[in-house]
Amino acid sequence: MTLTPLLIREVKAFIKNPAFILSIVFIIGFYGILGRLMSTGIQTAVEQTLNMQIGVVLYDSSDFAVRVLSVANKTSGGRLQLVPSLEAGLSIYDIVVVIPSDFTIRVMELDKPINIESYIKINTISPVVSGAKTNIITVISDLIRKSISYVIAIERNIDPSLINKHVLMNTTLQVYGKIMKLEEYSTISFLMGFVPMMIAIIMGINAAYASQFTATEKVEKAFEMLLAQPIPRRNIVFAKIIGSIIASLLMGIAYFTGMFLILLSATTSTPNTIGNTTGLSVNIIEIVSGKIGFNALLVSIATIILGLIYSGALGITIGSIVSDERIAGALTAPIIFTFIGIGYALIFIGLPVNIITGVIAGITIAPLPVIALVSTMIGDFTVLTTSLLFAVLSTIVVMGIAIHIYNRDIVVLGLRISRFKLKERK
Amino acid sequence: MSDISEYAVLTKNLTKIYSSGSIGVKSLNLSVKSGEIYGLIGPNGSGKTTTLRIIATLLKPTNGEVYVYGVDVVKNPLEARKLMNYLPEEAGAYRDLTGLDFIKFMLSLRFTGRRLEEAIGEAIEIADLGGDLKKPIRGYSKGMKRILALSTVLASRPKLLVLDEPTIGLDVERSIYVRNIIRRYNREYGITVLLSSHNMLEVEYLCNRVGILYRGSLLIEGAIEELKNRVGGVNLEEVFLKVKGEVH
Ligand SMILES: Nc1ncnc2c1ncn2[C@@H]1O[C@H](COP(=O)(O)OP(=O)(O)OP(=O)(O)O)[C@@H](O)[C@H]1O
Ligand SMILES: [Mg+2]
Repeated sequence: MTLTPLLIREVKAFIKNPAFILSIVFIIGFYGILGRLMSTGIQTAVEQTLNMQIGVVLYDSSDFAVRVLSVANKTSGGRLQLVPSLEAGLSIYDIVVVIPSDFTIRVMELDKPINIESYIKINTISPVVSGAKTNIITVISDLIRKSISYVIAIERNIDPSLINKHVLMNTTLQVYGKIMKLEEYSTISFLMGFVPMMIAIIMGINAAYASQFTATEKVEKAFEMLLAQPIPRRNIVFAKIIGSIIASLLMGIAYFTGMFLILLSATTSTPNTIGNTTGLSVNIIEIVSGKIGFNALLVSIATIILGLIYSGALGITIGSIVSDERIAGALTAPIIFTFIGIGYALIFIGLPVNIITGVIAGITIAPLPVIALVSTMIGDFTVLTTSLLFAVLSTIVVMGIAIHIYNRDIVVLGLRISRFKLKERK
Repeated sequence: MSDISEYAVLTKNLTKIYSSGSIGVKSLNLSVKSGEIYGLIGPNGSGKTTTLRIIATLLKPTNGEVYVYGVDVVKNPLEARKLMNYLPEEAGAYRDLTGLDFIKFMLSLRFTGRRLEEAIGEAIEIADLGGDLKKPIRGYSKGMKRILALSTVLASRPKLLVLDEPTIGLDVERSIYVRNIIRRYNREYGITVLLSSHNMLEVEYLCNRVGILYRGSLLIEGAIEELKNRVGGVNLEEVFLKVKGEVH
């Protein structure tokens, strides 16, 4: 079998490639830590919501309403707290339910559904926390429905399962002080997860391009001649950053054109989706302009630009210290995964938006749009300013490192992880 | 300071220790006079490439100083690069460019306008690749790539040419051709040449003075005839072997 030695050589080539081994170790370690951080975040979120107290405004002072509430409170383990008004409730609790004054009347009329207003206060970017809170609303709606049946059943001495009243929960969210409907929030929540993710992927791909281009130039051996020419080395770095950005943009445009074409062909075959997709996209634009503001949109664009420069410089740094394409290739995967990991992490860990997370977002670039979004909603731009400042600063630093490396031996010699073998034998 | 700028290249106690710990060169004192062709010879791993790379500003010395026409190459690399051009030991070229594009690219980093056009014409003439110049470099043979790289380096007509084994990989005819061009550029344009070589014939034919490197140190240095007389050898090869033998 001639295949065996060939196969052995192939496998040996990457097994013996230190970059390959290092990147595997790195990915396992990095995602291990990330996973632990994320699960801690999720766990605290779940624990918080499990023991959460819920404010109840009772506008119907009838005996029946009071009884329903007391049953519901007992069933829930005493988690319902009476509050005098919605404002007072929201200042203490994250979830407030309003029992309207016509509550009893509506219960008594057979075919009328019972409308209950509920309010959720969300001051986090974590979809886990907000998901848990919206779930609680469903639980409470169910609880109230069952309590109604129970109280009626006892009064009239019948089987509670025979009574089935409809409870309609109308939920309003207060996200960082901004009032919105659940559907609107879903869109925003989706954007908060999607935008940083996209930026992270773009950054990862761009870094991979830059490192490949740089390593290829070294392998082509024109590199030493280039370095000996009377041009500042930083110009070589700048040219490479711009080159990789152009490549990434072209790739991005091709990708979105492709997606657009898919959408087009999909809409012609199934006219049904036209309404949905255009409806959705109009909705997103409306929400972006109405609730989020163009501030966040501008920041997102700035983030992409900064992210491209940053990842380009990072890729060049990596490409210039490795000694060949094979190693650069092996390092490409961990670069992309790192950016994606960071894109995910900040959101799912459920960290609060403050100066520290702002700085982290700035240094890692991808989560910046989330900071912009939250800052816009709060109307306080200190964190965003800090974030942007750190983003610009870290971009300059990464570029500085790339230029610095281009002025060192390492750009010619490469980083040798294994020991260099002596040539001299005579 | 006036004596420093008299020399095309002057190294003072030049030492390079690689991060792996191996010694590239140690306490090297080399002087190349303006206008001469200087040959650096020595066995594999003796430090020729290391020395030339440091002079060409590609590597930084661990210790010591290097001056090119009085310009400190460590402190002022950009100025130093303006005075010289360098042909690496392994010179390749961008695979996807044509030979002509490569010439244009390399020379456009040094010249503009009319001077650029002239230099390009000169390089095309030196490379002498005919119709192949319009083809992508990925299809070139090793020798073709070498002569292409050499043509851009020569056509830039720097004050100092640093050539690491200029004729390596070239056939007999092309080697002779290249030697003649090097000699012509040295004579006609007064270009100083510092080259390394394993070919003693070549060195004897081309160089005014030679230095023999061994394990990172200069064993002996001088005009070829002078060395032959001093050591007592008929040719440079004998000189080389005798000098090396004395160390053992
Ligand atoms: N990148 C490197 N890392 C570590 N040591 C190196 C490196 N390059 C060269 N060396 C060491 O420096 C010494 C000098 O090497 P150099 O390449 O300068 O020799 P050379 O005279 O050009 O040899 P050759 O005739 O084979 O081209 C050798 O001992 C070599 O092992
Ligand atoms: Mg060498």
